[in-house]
Amino acid sequence: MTAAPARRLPAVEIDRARLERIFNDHHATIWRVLVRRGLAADAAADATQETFLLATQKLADIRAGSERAFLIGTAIRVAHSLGRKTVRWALAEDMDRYLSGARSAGETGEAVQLCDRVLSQVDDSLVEVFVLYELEGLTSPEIAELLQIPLGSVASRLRRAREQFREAAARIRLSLEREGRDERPAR
Amino acid sequence: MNARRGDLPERLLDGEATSFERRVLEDALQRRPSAELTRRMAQAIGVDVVGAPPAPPVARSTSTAAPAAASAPHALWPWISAAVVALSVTGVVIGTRARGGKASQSSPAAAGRFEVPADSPRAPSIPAVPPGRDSPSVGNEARPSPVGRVAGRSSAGPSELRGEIELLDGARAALAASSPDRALENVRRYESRYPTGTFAPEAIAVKVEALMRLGRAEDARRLAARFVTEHRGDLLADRIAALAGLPRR
Repeated sequence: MTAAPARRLPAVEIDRARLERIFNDHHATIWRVLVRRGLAADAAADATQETFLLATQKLADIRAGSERAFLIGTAIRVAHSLGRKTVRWALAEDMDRYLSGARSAGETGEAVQLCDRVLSQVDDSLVEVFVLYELEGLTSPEIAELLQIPLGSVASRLRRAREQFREAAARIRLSLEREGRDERPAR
Repeated sequence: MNARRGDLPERLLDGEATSFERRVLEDALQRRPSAELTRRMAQAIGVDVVGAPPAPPVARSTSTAAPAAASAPHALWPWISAAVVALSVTGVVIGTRARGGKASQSSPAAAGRFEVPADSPRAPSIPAVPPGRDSPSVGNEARPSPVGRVAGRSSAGPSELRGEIELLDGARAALAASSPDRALENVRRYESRYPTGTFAPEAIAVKVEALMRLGRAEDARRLAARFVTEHRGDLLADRIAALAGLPRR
């Protein structure tokens, strides 16, 4: 299919230099947050792209220094709108192959394995707080604002997420040891 | 990293993580999109990746990469014509598909609010967003909501339609190139990104054909039968039934 001929429509004023800077500073974080919400690498890239496109529209309103929080908040809403479990026509028997293929195709390194195995065992409702705090370094008030939950809920979700994370990590470590596959030295 | 953040305990990586937990967390932190994905995102947004090598000359397998001649003769071509694409990009044709919700929410107001930079043919159209709608401080938008979910997908701006079409183009081009696996992968990406997409029925048609070519006739027939049941009277239903070898109704 040939693309429609370029058609210049009324332009949106965009600070391209700033957009480029925040993309380079934050795209990996946004992608990671989306992957942690269960999107495959490719889908996370699409959602990251959509996040930045939405941010572009609001660029002038984003305070300097708050870009990351804005992007994470937008990414979370994009992920909600995608509804990771709402693919109407997916055939269940396709999914395992899809996930393994998509992951290996779109990501660098060997990271699919361990963190996926452990974090996938933390409840969906808890893993977001865990990721934002433990991995992305957000503060409690930032997380509360992004997720629109009370500060107390941030603390309680983090506590429960940690319990599940640590239990899952211990189980998987044991399992790897039994299988004799835990050969990489602990760092 | 500071030891404490607000009223929360010290981060595991800063304190009490075991060596195995540390490894898991560090793995997660090291995770990044591949160079190809990063380049693709940057290109779509219209920015450069700092420190990235030049893009390879071979483009990715989307509509802009697939020669029109390769996919034009394909059996499914008529379902989304070049005319649809051209009109879709200007945001005026969304209502032509009789699909609930999505079509009706696309307004002519969407047209004219998007920029298509002449110097960057693959740069994005900027999605129009009502003021305040995407601020993270807007409370209930951050919560999962069926209504919000529908609304989030139904404001199909030109960039979204173009994205849908690109994915389907890629799928059809893959079928034309006798790569049903790749076609199926494109359809899955479509389904993942556009669960209530404007062209979901066309995606089903591609999926049915790809499954048939992969020898997965049972899967294809099950999918086709479901579609036909739910879309009686739709022209595409006949087409999909024929692709799956279902008896004529």
